[in-house]
Amino acid sequence: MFKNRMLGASLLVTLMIFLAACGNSSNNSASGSNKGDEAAEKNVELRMMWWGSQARHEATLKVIELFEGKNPNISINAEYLGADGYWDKLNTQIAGGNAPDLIQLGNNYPDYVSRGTLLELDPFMGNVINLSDFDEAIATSGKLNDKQYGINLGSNALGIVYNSELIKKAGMEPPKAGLSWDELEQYSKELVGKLGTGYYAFADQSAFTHYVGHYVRQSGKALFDGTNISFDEADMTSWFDMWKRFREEGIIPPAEKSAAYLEVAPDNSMLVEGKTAMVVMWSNQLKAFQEAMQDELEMIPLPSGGTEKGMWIQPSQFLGVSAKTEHRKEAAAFINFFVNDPEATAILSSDRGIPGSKVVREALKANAEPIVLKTYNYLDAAAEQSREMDQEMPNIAEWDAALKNAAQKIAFGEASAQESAQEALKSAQAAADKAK
Amino acid sequence: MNTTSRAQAMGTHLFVILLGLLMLYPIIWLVVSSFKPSYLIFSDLSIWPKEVTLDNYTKGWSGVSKSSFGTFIGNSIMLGLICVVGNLVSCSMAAYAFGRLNFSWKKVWFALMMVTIMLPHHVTVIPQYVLFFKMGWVDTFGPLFVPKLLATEAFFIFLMVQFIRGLPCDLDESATIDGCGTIQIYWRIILPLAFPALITTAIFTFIWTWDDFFSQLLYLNSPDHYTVPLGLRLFMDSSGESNWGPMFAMSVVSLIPALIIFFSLQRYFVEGIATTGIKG
Repeated sequence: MFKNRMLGASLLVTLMIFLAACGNSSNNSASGSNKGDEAAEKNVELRMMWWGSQARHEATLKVIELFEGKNPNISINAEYLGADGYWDKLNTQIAGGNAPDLIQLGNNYPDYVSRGTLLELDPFMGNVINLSDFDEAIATSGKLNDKQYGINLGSNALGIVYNSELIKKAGMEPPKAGLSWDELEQYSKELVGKLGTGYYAFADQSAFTHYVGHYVRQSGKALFDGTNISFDEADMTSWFDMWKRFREEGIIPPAEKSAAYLEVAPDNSMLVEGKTAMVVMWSNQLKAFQEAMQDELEMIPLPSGGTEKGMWIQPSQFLGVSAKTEHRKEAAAFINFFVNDPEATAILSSDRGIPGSKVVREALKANAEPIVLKTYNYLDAAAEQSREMDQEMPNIAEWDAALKNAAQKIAFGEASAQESAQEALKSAQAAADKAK
Repeated sequence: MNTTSRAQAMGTHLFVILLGLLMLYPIIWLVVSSFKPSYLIFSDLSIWPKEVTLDNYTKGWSGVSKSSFGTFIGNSIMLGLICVVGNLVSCSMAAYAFGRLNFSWKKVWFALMMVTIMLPHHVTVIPQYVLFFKMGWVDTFGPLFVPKLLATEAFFIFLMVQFIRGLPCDLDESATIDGCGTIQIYWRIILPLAFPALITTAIFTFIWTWDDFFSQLLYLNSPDHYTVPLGLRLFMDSSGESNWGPMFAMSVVSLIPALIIFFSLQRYFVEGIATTGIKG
């Protein structure tokens, strides 16, 4: 009986330890939220969430500290993570009614506008948030249906990045800016001939949505014109036919290799391995690719052709405010600080893309490191080849997946260019129709 | 005869060793890459590094701004241990009840519990988040370990129920004759005999908690509370630049605790799998 009691007591003690442990954590958070309530009377607490890499985290944290130093009554709690899981976490928080006050978004921000997550910033435009130094196109890029929902944090442009060492090794001149599709093809044939087997002129990027966008824009069309899909089967067929020819000529890697090397990040890239001379990428990726290899990289605009300019300057990231925030004005003030303050923008540099403000750009250019300067110079060159951007196709991720599928079918000889073109067009239609 | 069997044995060994090396290749590559300067990691894929550096380890360990990687490892170990103890205590009690005791609606409760194994995780994510948010537990470890104290891991309960059902009831009866009550039978008879099942539960709980990314991502907001999987993701940004070197280095470091636990308990672990009939 005694032993039984001992056992009961010991079990009870263990149970109590656990209860205490969980009681503790709830106490902690309770006192935490109390603090928040008290603080709300005098002090304002905001939450900001972004994705990025270590360099971006460090820079953003420094800017937050700077802002808190200048506005002692506002404190900003940073929640930062890598790109993996960012959207899952954000969506869960929004669904759970716990969205952060300041949210970093990409070109998918219209999805969040339609869900009612984002605050309309128009009441603060001009008085709290000042975009007078911004390029017109960049300032309005955060507008949807004539209302401002996000402030642009940086822009990029697509371009061809080439390995200058590899081309030198082949004994050739670097490709010249503004070359046409035909010239690129001729140049590539010569290059592959000189480099020998196992080397390729450029990567198979027949499934790169924005590259297709550039191609159809050259004939005055668009992937999406704001309401509808605005390219046709013939465009897609000629696009796929062209890549099929490249593959047959051996200037792009065969299907098996292309399937293994995605060329979207330095971690699986034949460019980084020194086997492929040219890859199309966004200007903000140049730095990451360069840091992963020793051969020097250079960037030139996309192939020219057609009747119109195909390129455009793409705003890459936006900062928006949650519709449910209790401190609208403070959040807006922070955004303004983030994009205009000389000190803050100097810290942030061009990590999120080239800043929209001309004043900031000039200041940054003056003391940029060589690789960043290359990005700046490239963006100037790209701007000359650009015309106004189109609205991003809704649900573009779905089309992206379908396009990959269609392109791979051709590469592996499972479908003709026309069949794949039909398939790609159909899924583009489906993706765009979903948003209506 | 002797020489042929020896040659055969050597052949088998050689084959097994080569196969093992092949399987280990990704890990070996990870370890080697963690000592390479970052510009060589993907441009030079060979297993022998041209240059060796410890930079990745020092950089990785210092973590991101104010949070060092040590904090992340500390958080993960603490969380892992609490979850292990929680699961061991709560699941073994629940399993004992299902396996040995009689109570009304027992079959219904058991079926309900089994249903929770089959329920996809995604269904419960948002309601759970709302619940914990209303309780003010977001950004604490509460949502990650408190459920473990309440026997919510049906998989482990099931594993232990199966094990306990396999123990002869005669033992309980003789214990009753010797004067044991329900609790004493649990403590003195069932728990010691269910040791292999407990070890299996402990190892799985620890490794699953150690590797868990999504729920930790959801509930932990401030970097001071981050765990190893979240810390490792901080080095990566698929849309921009990733610090592969420090990430590989810290991946190597984060393998160590899991390896220690696994190897030190390996003997029981294999026994546990053999006797519970559950494969890892």
